[in-house]
Amino acid sequence: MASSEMTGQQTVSSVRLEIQKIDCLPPIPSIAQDILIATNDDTIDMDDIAKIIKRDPALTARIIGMANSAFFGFGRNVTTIEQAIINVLGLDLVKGFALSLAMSKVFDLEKCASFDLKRYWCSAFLTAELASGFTNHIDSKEVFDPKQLYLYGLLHNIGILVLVHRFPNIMTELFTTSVEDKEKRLIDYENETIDFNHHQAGAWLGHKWKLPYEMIDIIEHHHDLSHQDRNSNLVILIGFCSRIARQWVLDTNYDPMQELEVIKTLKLNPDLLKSYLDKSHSKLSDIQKLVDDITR
Amino acid sequence: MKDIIEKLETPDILNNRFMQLLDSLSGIRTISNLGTQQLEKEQFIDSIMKTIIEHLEVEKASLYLLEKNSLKCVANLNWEQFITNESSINSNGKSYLLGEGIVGKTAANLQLIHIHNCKASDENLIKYETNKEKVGALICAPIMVNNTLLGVVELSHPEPNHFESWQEHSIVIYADLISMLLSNNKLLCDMQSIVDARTEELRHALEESEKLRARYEEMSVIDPLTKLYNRRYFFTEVSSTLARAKRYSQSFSLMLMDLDRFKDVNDTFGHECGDNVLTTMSEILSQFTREGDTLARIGGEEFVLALPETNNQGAIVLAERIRASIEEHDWKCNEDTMEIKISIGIATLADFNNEEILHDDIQLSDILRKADLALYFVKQHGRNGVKSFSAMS
Repeated sequence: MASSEMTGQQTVSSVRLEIQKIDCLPPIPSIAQDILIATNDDTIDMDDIAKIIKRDPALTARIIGMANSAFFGFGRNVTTIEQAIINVLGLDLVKGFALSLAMSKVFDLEKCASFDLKRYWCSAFLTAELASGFTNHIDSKEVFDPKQLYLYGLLHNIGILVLVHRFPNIMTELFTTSVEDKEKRLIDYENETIDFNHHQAGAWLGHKWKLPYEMIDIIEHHHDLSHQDRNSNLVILIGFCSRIARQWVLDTNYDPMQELEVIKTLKLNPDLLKSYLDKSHSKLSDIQKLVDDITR
Repeated sequence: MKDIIEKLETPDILNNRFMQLLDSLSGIRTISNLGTQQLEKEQFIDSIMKTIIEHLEVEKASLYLLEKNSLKCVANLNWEQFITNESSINSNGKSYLLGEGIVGKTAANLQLIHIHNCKASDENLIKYETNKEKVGALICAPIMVNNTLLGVVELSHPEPNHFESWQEHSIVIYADLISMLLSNNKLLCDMQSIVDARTEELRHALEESEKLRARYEEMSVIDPLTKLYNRRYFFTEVSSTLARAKRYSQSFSLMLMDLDRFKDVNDTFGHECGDNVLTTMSEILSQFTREGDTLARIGGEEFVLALPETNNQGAIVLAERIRASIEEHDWKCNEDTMEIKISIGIATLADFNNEEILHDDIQLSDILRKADLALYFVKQHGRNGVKSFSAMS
């Protein structure tokens, strides 16, 4: 671990302090460009802006966090980009903020060479897409707003972006080794080599950015089946979608239907689940095309 | 285009400033909202500490309040405790005299102190900090109301030069809000204790007046309804009259009067009417009293008339006149005519033998008992009559 950004003295809490200094994560260049174009267009409306913003998890998280600031008085209850724009911030403020973010330094795609940005993006979009369908396709007793579920899926792995942004060298090493074993998850490598992981990192940023508490829960605990609190079903659902997405992106032999414990806990109907997943798998190629476009 | 964008740093700085401003305002909104809720002191102090940690990029915050001449830590919170939602109301045990340490110096000078780098700072000042190696930057702000010190709020962060001017400006506003909350709370508490004291005073006064009322009642000699003397007065007063009569061997008679079938009057015409009868009765009886006589109401419808220097014969004559005038009175209740009659029993000192009188054994109650027997005799023999004890048998 002979990297410049970490010295032997660094502790978990000093890493946390580093991460909590992050006010904004830089946008992806292509999205920054789209924003610059869109904000110069007077005819652009809320839907267009929301669509662009939702392509960048970091920007999405920042705007959600802003809308959840106590200053606006909505508590920590704003859970969709649409709500954030319409009810809280207003189109002008969001346009202005997105513009200023687009004009600042953009994400350096070269900085973390082995960080497979495309894989991260595909995984985030696919998780979001899968999660949002769980209100319509699955016989679940709990009812969630699909836009809200989409956002949870989109942001659940934001910790990876945080670590890549702040500790690119460390993450390069980790990604290089983790690619070799598809069964082993990134977080396992993190826990083996460094004292912190991207779940924690995402949660630390979530606190600093005032993300809704359930979102922080998802970011921190989404693969923890024993996690118990009032949002536990939601947390487990997003984790499930995340694992499906990752394995689809990596194209492994993983069969979601084998996760019997999850299916039982979430009271999912196996037949409906299977047909939903079969149908959703076709979206993978669309998402890959979109990601190619974003990371061009 | 990419090249230009990469070179621009101003938007970054502006974004950061915007976020910090938003955070600071969020904190102000949260704290000022505490003022609109009726919270206990501990509750709002806890919320203030949490707000500071959440919104000012502070790793640790402490609140010291002035007690006599020292500043005592009343609340203490760090980020980890904030995340796990621990209460901040746990003193770190620290206490500073005015002028002692950075907290004490802030209090003594009534001015904010910002130490950008504790490690490079004057040793004398920070030697009071036990965890000085963990404190990189420190801000202490006085909490004042009307130039009077209430306490000090202390913010710290492990990294030197962490705090910027926005935190310095913000904490001054927060300190003002805290002072408002504290002094409002104090006013409220003071008011409550004044109200409590007044309530206690009132309760005491009420108790006193209740005692007085009871005592007055005990001392009272007048029957409130008829305005005649009551039983207590009668016994005290007439006992001495009797003693005098015995000493000077004068005659003494007692007339016990009882309204006939008074219960029927109450039942038929109501208690208000019954009360009117008693009042009128008293007025009539009063007309027959001479100087020295004592007329009293000693029971519900029972009256007694003590007649010094009056013998049995005189008493009978007077009693007959009284009985007749009661019977002849035009008794009315609203439009209804009532029949009101009275029975009278008489006893005199002469009903006792000389031996008894000389030995001073005769009490008022003894004479009254004889009068009562005579009265009972009348009641048994058709009522509306007069009987003296000596004429019974």
